[in-house]
Amino acid sequence: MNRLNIESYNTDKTAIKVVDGRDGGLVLKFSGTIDHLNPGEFLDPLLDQVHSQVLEKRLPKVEADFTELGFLNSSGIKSLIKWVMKQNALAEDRRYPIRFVYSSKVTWQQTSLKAITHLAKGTVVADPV
Amino acid sequence: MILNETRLGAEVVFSPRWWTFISSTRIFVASFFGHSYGDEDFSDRVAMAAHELLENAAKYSSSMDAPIRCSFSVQDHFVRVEVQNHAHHEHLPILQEDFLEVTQGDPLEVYIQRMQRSVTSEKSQLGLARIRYEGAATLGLAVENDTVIMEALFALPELKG
Repeated sequence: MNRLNIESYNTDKTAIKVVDGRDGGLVLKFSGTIDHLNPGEFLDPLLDQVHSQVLEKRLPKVEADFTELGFLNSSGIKSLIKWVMKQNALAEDRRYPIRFVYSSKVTWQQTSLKAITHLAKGTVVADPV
Repeated sequence: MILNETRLGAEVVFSPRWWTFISSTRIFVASFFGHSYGDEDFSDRVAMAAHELLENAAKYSSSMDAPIRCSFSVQDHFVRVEVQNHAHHEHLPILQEDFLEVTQGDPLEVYIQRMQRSVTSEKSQLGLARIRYEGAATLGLAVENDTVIMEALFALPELKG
């Protein structure tokens, strides 16, 4: 279990491991595929929990690693958008950095995640591995 | 299925009841173009477009058993992904308006506007804008009675090897 006691999500198709990162941060490791009809049913509650707990415990940063995720549909992208746009509603000193990590060999990872960073410039970045 | 002498491609038919066939089709398309052209960027973009068009077709189908046809063909220097479905009449003007909005202006700006708007919408409404920006595709729409035909056109990469 991680320092926030947030449960990982794990099914045959999709896994989102929530683990402690270095420097006191939190890491979300996505794997499998997210191409469900309504992925918000599991993504939204998890990301809401991450957001509220990171704020409450004042964690310094969150990293979301997508390098092992085969596909993310547009409904899944919407859940990420909802998460990062919550930053815009916070006072600047309450915002926490989010770092998306993607594989430069997977086109959708690069294009989707980079596009999302435009929604919360300065607090959300996307970096290749 | 071979379509004819000059149009090489394949067709997949299923109904919205078979949601998992959308992923199966995406994987098939990615494999087909990955093996044929040895260009993962290209096959990723075409497969993503096929997936998003099929999701839209399934979500807005007039019934759970109405056929959805996905064909992809290689013509001259282009790959065409075409998805055909049957939709409720009341949805057609919304789709046409949506299509006009998505296909005008800078693709990235349109995509970002859509992303911002999606937060307050029940639906994602990102699929077409995603195909246009991330897929670098040209989109087309035809409507006849209750039949909707959406297409995404991709410039073909140079054959490797």
